Amino acid sequence: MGEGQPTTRKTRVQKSRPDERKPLWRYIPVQQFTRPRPSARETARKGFLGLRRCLGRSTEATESAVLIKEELQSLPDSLRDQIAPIPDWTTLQGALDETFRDWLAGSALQRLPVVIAMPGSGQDEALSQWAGTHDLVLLHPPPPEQILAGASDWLSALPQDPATRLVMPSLARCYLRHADGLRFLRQFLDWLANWPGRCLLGCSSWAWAYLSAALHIDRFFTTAWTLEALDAERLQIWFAQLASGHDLQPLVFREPDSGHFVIPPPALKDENEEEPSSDDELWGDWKQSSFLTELAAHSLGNPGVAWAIWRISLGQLSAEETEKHALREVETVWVKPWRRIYWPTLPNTLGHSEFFVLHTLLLHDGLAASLLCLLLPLSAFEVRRTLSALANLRVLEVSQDDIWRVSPLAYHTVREALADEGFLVGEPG
Amino acid sequence: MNDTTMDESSISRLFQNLGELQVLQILVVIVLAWLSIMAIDRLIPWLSNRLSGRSRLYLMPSLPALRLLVVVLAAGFLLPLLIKPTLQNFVAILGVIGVAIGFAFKDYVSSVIAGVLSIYERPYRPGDWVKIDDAYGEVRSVSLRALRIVTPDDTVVTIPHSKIWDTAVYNDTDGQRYLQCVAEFFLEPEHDAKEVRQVLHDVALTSPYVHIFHPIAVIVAEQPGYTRYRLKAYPIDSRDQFLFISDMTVRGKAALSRLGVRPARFIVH
Repeated sequence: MGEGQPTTRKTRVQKSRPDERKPLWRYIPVQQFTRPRPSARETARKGFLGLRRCLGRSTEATESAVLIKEELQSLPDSLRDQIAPIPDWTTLQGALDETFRDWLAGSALQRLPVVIAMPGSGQDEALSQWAGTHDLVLLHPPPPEQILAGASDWLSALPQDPATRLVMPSLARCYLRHADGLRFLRQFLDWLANWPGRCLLGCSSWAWAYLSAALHIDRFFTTAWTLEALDAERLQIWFAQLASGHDLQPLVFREPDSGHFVIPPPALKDENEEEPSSDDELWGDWKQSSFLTELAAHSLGNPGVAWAIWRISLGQLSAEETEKHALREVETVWVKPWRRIYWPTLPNTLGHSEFFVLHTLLLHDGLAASLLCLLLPLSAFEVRRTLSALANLRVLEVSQDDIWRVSPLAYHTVREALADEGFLVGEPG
Repeated sequence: MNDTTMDESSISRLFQNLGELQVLQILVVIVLAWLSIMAIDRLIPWLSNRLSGRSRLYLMPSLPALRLLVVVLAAGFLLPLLIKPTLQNFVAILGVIGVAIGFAFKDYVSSVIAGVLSIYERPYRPGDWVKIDDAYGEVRSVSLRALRIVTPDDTVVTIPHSKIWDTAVYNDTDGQRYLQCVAEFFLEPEHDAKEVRQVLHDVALTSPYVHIFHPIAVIVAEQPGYTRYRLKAYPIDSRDQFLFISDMTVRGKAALSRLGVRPARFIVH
């Protein structure tokens, strides 16, 4: 742990601060989306772990061993909620304003734009709030039972005035992967095509991929947008912003084993000086950790997934160690090294029922167990058993209204497993 | 007398002297070859089962080729140990072996040669779904003499490669992962065929087994007394073909029932 102490070495080391002028949230055409890439070292490590897994050497034993040696203590929930609070997705509104300014102004070129979002990225909430801000009419999808019955009442109640500006936050809630569930969506899309007004639609990346393959809706909507992936630089800005809303001293985030900074110290200004104090004066020479690079790549740039992993990676040292490694003028939050973070894994023995349940939940952005029974060739007992088994593995989580979803921590693992088995996966991400 | 003595001496010249035979080396080569084949037989299927469906299709077909490679290498090591390595000796011994095989192991050798040929022509590979004579199933292994297929009833059928000389081999997958499945519906003729066609198309489109990037087709044919619908689609994994057909059939029946379309009661052939 002693090596975690900042030193005053003469050699210059690479360190970087994010460009604060770079917008945190930005919508881009979906074709321009690129996923953040991991470091070469992480790619090699994952390849090695994949080979071990393929050869039957489970990583569970490794996980237990590391947990025993775990030197970081978990943060109290109250402190964790202060440092990494639930994201406020209204911060996306600036990016929505910027992207859909022409649409709001009535541009005919963008009559039916679509915003595609990865699961858990807060889009439904952001679009709903944005619609309220601009006095747009929010279209709530009909309940699933009505979708299966054709939802003729819902369709006949759609606005007829072409001056109405509509926002449908989640197209994924307008269909069910069922013969009757597609019929309703076709009718709705048919109405949209004939209605001369403007409608902004949100859609999860998985539903978009499925509906593009099944109904070719990507040809129906000419402009599809998506949130630019959160790379390491943006994650650094975002996490620093999330952690800034409290009364603590300025925070630095560091890895305990190397002492590298995950989020570098803020550039503090001395009261009597206009220029910020030199970093080296305050904390010695410091190195940047690759943690956020790996996190950005692992989360595919998905903010919800990145935030969930960020929360579990935060910890604290014992009081004695904290005292030993304290820095001037800042409070230190310790971050588990990337290789010591463990998320839910899937066993090699998964069968049809597990894959079907996971895939269907992602295609619909979460579903009730009763609907899974309807959509899958599984009995109610099999569905419940599968849900429970996956929940025990922490791969699924369930809300109070019995809506099951893939846990953000398991999202990457599940996506890779489904892709390996040849299932259609969400694009982008 | 002289001729007999000459024949015996010429035959004895073919082989290494008994005292010169390196028995230990021969045994080592045989044991190593046998162990290698055993290892390949176990390792490749084990590895294939652990890899994803796509990788399985690339790995499994390498099994017979690897096994042949071991046999050829072992023979290459053994022959110089057993026979004095001159051209005449090799020609003479191969001639004798050829005559012996021609009489005693004709069928066996025919199968082995067909097996070698099958490695290059690839009429079937492990993982393929094939029909040879009355046997239909998934090719599980291809050895030098025969292939083993597992039928949908979980029966293992061993078929010698020599069948390819005179029997048609129907390969549904031909090295691909995808296989077209057909679910059939026989309906009373009074119904809206356009609507039924759309519903059946959606039934395939919404099956969790379906490979969505492959075409789905609904073929309609009017027959005396009924209308026949053939719903054609591809599953993600060819191993699921019967589950997929069952799923399309069950959900298709339910969807048709909701439409009020009834199955044909009497089918006239």
